[in-house]
Amino acid sequence: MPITTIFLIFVILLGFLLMTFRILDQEITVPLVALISIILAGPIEGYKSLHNGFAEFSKVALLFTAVAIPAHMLESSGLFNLLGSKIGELVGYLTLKFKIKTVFLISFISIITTYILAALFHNTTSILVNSYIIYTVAQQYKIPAAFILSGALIASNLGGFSTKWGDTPNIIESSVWGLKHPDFFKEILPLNILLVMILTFIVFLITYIKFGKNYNLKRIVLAHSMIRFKTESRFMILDTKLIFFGLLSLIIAIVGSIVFPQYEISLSALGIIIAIIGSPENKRKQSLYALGIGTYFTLLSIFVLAQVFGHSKIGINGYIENILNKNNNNILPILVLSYLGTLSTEAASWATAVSPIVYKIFPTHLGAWALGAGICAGSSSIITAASAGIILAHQTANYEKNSRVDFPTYLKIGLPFSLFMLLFYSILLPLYINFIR
Amino acid sequence: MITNPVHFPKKETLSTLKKELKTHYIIPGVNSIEAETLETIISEDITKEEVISFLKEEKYNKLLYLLENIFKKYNLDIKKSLILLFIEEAINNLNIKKKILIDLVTIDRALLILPLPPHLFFYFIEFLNYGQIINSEDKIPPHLEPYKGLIINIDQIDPVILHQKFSETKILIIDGLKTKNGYLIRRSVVNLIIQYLNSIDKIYIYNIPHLPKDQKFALVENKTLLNKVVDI
Repeated sequence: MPITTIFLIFVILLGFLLMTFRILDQEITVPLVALISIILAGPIEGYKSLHNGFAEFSKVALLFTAVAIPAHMLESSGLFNLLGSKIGELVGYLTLKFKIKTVFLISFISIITTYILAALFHNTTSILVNSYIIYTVAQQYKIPAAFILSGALIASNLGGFSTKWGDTPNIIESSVWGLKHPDFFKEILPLNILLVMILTFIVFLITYIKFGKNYNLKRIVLAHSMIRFKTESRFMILDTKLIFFGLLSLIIAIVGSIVFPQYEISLSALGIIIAIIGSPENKRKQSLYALGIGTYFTLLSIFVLAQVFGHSKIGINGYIENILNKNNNNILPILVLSYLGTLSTEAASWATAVSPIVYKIFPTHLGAWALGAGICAGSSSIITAASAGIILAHQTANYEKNSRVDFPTYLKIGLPFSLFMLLFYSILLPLYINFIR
Repeated sequence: MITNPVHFPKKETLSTLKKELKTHYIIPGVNSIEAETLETIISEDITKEEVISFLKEEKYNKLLYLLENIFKKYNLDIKKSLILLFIEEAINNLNIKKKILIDLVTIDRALLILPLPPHLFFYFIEFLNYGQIINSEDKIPPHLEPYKGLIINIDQIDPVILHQKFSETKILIIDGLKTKNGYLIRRSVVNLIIQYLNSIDKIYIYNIPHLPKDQKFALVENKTLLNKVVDI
């Protein structure tokens, strides 16, 4: 292995450590690592990686923007706050009326809502919107939210892996394997739903064993919490214009792309235009740049880094190809490699680096799902393995101590469940794909 | 003569019938969150002690005072006492609202700090002039868009004028979150309130159910301030 490759791996791991211990922000670290990788690749390979990275990023940037702007509009409209209040009220109502365990209700509703929002929008959007809702609801009902929030992060990864637009690796895999929206619905969504159900049960069980046994909230206190949410939603003001245009642009960009996949780019562009028109005059710029230049720059850096890491002379594509070629009748090496690769780099960069190699050896959909499944499990292993996790850690840093999700707290649920996910996919994925064919 | 037998309807006791009926005794927006909580569990077998302990725990002294008065005066069972309490509280709260409006007419030096929910804002708007409404957050809620000409944004006002306004204020209407130790008040105005507390006569506070996301609040435990607070 050339010394430059070893140095590049060292730089990637160093960047990973700097982010883990919050010495440097993700938005600084990733571009820095990408810039170092360009220098290491040399003038010709460095330029080629930069050029190809930009080219691959262009489509992702458009598709991301088409979902990010409506999500931003819906959040600004107050719709997600209303959703949170309604969830809080529902938890109280069901507990009082049917005497269902509050811990179960909060775990179940939190995980399922995060999963659905991630599948509908994007996993980071889902975590951004949902983490505060989950925290408020759990806190109001006097339940520590740390494990529920940790479970929600895994649910957001599973939701993201369930739809074509739900996470960046899916977009990359779709372009390499030519996956369509119905392929996701038919071939991977049912398995992910099953995993979410198992996850919900585990999160409930852990929270219940840890805190729920001594949980004995008086009915009057439960009613008080419920009425707080009810009052909040009663006087909440929604911006109906923002909701209308946000939903319309989302329908055009997402549903339109499902119905007319060949016009995906045009429909995404149209969705963005409608969203901008529907935004208030003084908020249009804010809507258009809802993702923030930092996010775009980080994503772009990931794509450039992946080009250097995967395709240049100092890359590791040859080594991966060798490993996969030796085991070309088994998806387990893809799963494990993707798991470890994502854990040590980042989901999108790993997908970009290895998708063409995996496609060469596994051109069937099973190869794409194995790669995606390994990435999904890897993203769920430790809190810094995916952007959603970094966002969650940052957001919960100021929450009450027993509701904070930091590296060690998340590890307790993330690592074991991600290993279970590997096992689950390695057994069920080939069986299920064979079954539906 | 043969007559058809008369079928009497199944006899229902008042208590079983009442359990199935959901009667609303409170007026949303007038009664407090605590009163609505009590209404939610009124049909359950709740005791007088449980209600009192809940109100004491939540430090909801107004409701506690009213309830104890009802117990003393009428010596009724808990359910009847609570129904009377809801009416008493509604009267009390409406009187406070009336008092605010009269204060706004008689005392010209009042400031209304947004955000406030529409059911309160639209009462007060008729009684206020330009320069008396200050928005403490960076965005104006959509229902207040038509009134934005009357609203001064706290970030856009000259700080000297802002201080002058607070120094001349006698009545303040704001929102906040009541806690067991005091009130959480918006960070953007809390320093000004503390600075000019001596000249402020009354602080009317609308108790919000939860802290909104991404908005900053500071806990105030100052006794002088708490003595001037009137719950809306």
